[in-house]
Amino acid sequence: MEDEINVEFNNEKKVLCEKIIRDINAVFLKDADLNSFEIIPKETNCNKSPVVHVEHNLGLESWCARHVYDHAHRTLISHRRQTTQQQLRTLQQQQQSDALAKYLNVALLINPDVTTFWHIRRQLVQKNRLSINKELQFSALVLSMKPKSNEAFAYRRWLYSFQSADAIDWPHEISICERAADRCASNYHAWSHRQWVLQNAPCLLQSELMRTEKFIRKHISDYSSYHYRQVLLSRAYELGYHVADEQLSSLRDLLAEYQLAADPNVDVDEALLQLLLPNHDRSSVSAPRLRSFLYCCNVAASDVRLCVEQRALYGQRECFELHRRAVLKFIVEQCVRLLLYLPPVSVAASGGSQLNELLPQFDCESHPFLVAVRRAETAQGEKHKRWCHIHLNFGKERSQDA
Amino acid sequence: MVRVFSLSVFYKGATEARLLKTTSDLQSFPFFQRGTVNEFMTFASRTIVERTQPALRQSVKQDAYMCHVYVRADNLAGVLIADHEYPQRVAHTLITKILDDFTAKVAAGLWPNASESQIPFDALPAFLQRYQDPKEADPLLKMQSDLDETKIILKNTIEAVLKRGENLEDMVNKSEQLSMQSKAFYKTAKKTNSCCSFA
Repeated sequence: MEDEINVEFNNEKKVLCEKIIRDINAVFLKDADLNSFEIIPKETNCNKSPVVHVEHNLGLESWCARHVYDHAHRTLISHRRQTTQQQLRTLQQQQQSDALAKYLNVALLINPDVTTFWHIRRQLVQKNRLSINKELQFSALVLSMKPKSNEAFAYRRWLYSFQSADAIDWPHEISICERAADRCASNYHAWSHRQWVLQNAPCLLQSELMRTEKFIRKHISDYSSYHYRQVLLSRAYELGYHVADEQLSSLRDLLAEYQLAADPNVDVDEALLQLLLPNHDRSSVSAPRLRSFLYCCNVAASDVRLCVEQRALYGQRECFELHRRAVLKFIVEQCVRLLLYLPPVSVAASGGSQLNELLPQFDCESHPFLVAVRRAETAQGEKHKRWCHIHLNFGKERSQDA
Repeated sequence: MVRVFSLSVFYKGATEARLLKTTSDLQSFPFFQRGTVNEFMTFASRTIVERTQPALRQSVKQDAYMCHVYVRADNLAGVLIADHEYPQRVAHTLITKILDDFTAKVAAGLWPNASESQIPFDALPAFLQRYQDPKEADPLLKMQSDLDETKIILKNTIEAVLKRGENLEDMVNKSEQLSMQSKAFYKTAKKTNSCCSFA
């Protein structure tokens, strides 16, 4: 008798789960612009449908999430265990993949961390049973639920491998990264996905320089965003990026702070180059490379100022200090590389000689800019001095002091 | 993240605080949580105003949020809820400015009785949008340079503001301003330690 009740109860539950899964997929079919998914905390069943759909947002009440997930999970795993022949026998293929997709959608939305399910999706895409556009949309939906889902980002990269780079809507991809990074601080997966986008779409440099500045102004303690900006800067320099008619005022201000006055008798570019690269044989380096050098150093100099301003507004933060060091190191490094007639470092290829390996080959004393940097930076406390000693090779002066 | 979530003006009456005007920006919260978050922000604002002496400033931290309160000697009170990274000095300067503007626009006779819709003061949304960037407040900071930051009382939780014998959970349960849905939400969120653990 008890068994019978149990069986009946289980059947009822199964029917209910099936209905909820059908409801969710009905929303998928109906709304092509679905924007977000979330689990709504609600402990009791109020005898209403737990699937809520308002203004392109989809919600599932939490009381049923576990049961629905269990049901979808069990169905998918038992399908996975069947041999191909059995699968063929059970259903027509198209019908079958539709049914599978239904369970996959629900299971992955509730729990995006199951690699097996993402693989089943990949197989269905390869058999042309799922459309790539729909899949991109679905993975974006998963990211609205879990912004740190590496599986979802990896899946997007995999999907894009079937499309040519010109056909991809890169700005849209950036906005997905930005939304995920905004929702979760230190979102490693979102920022590395964004680096991947940057590698593939160099046309975004300009807008990225603007967007990241806006982002770090708002997310003052999220060092991931600062780090991305450093990568971006190196990438811009590597590609020889510059903007025509840039006034370079930040760089001039920075040099003025170091008490280096630009020669007023020549034009701005020339005066700055004289200060940064004295005794440098210009003919060995192309003019666009030098313009990019000035442009990128100017961005770095404006970041130095940004960090100082932010510190005045928000007080001491580790991020401000670290980013200031990183961009300062960028300026010094690019000066030294040019003076040694070395090409810029590639962002993608790691290795190559590090700055602190290069500096010993180089006589800093004869270089007014490096001497000025050394003088100003070593005055900023013991800890900062130690950092300069290791990374900017200021050791020589230290030993002289001692 | 530097963000202001809500601004509100209260009148602190003898027994309870009356909400005169409020506005909020909850875009950064998940869609279905916004209604509840809004109710809890108003609930927290009211609770803290009721427990702040006139002519006193407080900044109360709760999780990642910071609730800045100023009750003036004439019982008009302003509350600004922001992210914990929003500069405290800017927050309190803004509250002073809002209360000044409010006093200039709304006659003091209206404060104890008028309802929210009867109050002719619509500047809050513009304020909220403009001062998302604390840099915008630079001119204000210069004008009100007399704000003494050391006099702002800092509290680490809302519990620390409550009177002896009061308990946040009981207050949530008893509150008439919170809907059933929000109360259920609060319980579940607390249990699952979800991102929305306001109040």
